[in-house]
Amino acid sequence: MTEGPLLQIDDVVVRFRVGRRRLTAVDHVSLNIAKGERVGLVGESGSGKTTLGLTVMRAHDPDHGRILFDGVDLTALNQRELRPLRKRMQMIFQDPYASLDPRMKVGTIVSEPMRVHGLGTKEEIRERTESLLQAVGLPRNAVDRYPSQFSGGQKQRISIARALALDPELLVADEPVSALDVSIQAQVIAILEEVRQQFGLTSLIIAHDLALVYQVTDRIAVMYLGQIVETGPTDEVVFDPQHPYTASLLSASPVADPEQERKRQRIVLYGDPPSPIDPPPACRFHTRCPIARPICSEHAPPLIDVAPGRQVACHFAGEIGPVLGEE
Amino acid sequence: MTAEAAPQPVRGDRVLEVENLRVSFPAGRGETVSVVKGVSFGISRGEALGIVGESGSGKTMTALSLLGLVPSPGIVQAERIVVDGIDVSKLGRRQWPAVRGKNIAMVFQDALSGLNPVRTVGSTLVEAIRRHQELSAGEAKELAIRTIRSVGIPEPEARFEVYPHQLSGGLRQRVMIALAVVNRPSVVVADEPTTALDATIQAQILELLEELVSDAALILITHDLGVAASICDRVAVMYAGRFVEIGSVDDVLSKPRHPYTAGLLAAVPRFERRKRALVPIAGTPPSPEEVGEWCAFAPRCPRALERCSIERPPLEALEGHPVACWNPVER
Repeated sequence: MTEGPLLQIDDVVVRFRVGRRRLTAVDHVSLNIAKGERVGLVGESGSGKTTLGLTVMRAHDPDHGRILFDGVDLTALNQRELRPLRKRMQMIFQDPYASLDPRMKVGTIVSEPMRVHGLGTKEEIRERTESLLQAVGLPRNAVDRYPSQFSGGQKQRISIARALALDPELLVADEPVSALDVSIQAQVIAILEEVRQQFGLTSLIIAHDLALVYQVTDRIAVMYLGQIVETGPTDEVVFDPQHPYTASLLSASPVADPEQERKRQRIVLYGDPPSPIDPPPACRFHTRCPIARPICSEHAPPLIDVAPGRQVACHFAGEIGPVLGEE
Repeated sequence: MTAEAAPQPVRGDRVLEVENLRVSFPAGRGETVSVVKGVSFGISRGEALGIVGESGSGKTMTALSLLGLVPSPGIVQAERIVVDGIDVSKLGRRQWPAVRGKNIAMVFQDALSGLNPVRTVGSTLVEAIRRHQELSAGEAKELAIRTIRSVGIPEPEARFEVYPHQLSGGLRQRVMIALAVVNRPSVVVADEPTTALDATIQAQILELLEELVSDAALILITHDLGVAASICDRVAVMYAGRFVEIGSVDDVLSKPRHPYTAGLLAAVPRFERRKRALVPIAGTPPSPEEVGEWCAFAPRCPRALERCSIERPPLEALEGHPVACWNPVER
């Protein structure tokens, strides 16, 4: 049935009121995700990546633009009409401690979406809950225990099991492992990859860690102050960044490889990211950009195609070139 | 520059020597549980040592014990902890203020809680200066502004007057660093100094810390092997209260010998053309009371032998750098 992308983010703008001022958290962002694709949304705090994820889930209403899921415009639907579609998209969050109700048993937490949507008899729901827990590597008897009896990594598995309860097609994961210890992160990443294949999921991974996103996605979109500055196939963006901000993020992501540390180009950006309440005019990155020229503070560079599937918003795209010293 | 005739720093001189450090807490019924179980290391001026570990490994308690900051009712024991020739393991609570900040100083993860919120940046710095140096108010202010400038804060005169909450996270962390170095200590201990910061700001702060090292010795506590790799000369990997491996960054991160170090490295993503699947470490770290006189990593270790759950391997340099393992990874 699906011809076009499963998710189509089309010129979306999200604004918030901050005191008397308006903050544009997401500023004319477009992004398509094909069925089965794994897309990573990368950026620092204030980039709007989390807001965009929440807007896809309709936790925020966009002020402009459309979000199409399987061809249906979510922004045109009311809450009741949204309900059958909402089943098909689920989100997991950074902090498994805060997102699981400590007073509810794990079985109740995982099965809640099925009960709310009235899927199956009590026995069927219990059976499915146990098999979901098994799918994320937890024992079936976890149903009768409380979240506090589980470690951080196990809690994140519980939230994954709950997200899978309605057999969704799209999974939005916002910093799914950044609260976890290093040795546990890989466990959760492996589980996410396993269930993605098993359930045939399309995924949008939101993270600040570029190395992590490189590991788990097919395509990357890099955001800076509410805008996408570069998108493309993950390998191309990482090994041949076109936007100077992407290049500096790559330069700034520490990797546990002393040799690569020595080989890679070091770009240390000057200053702090500007406030999204008062973003710089024209190219938003020009105040920190190592290669900015006068035109950058006069005209905003549009996001244009530079190669198939590859878009960059920079007057001097490609000038910095590869950052990672390659073997 | 300073009123005190401080001895000229010599690169390479030993400024910190720690021997058999233990930190324990009462666990009820007269028992104690130790979270640092006998750690020894030294560091010289101009050197950066990374102490890498996961939560609960004891890395933060190790750091705090070097400054007499282990919270009550924690007990610090050591053969010796010598900072600048002073054995601080024998210091009483009243003697610490003369050493802390002057010989050894700390940079915390969260600058907002590390700085006094109701005092301006300038008055915090001036107070710290005048605690250790006999300078007039004017001279102290001058030194404070110079230090603010030296840590890369723009408009230092204006920043002298602001409160910590008026600064961005990155600038606050720079103020913390200024506060740590203003009395030119021999040892700076930084506990996850960049964990709360964005990537591009982290890069700035790491660069600043690296510059710092030329004048002092830096101990960088971190959970992030990449952060350690980027600015440290040596790295110690900590697990369940003990160092399991210590050596040059190249030896430990490129040719790890302890299965835990190797496991951590296999579990973190990196930028490689040919992507490999991440290999998780099974299980979770033990709680301190579960650790006995055997290898604490054995239950999770793919290379564990029978001996590993009976007898604890000492931290020994067999060939190359010291490793605590009965069955180390081949080089």
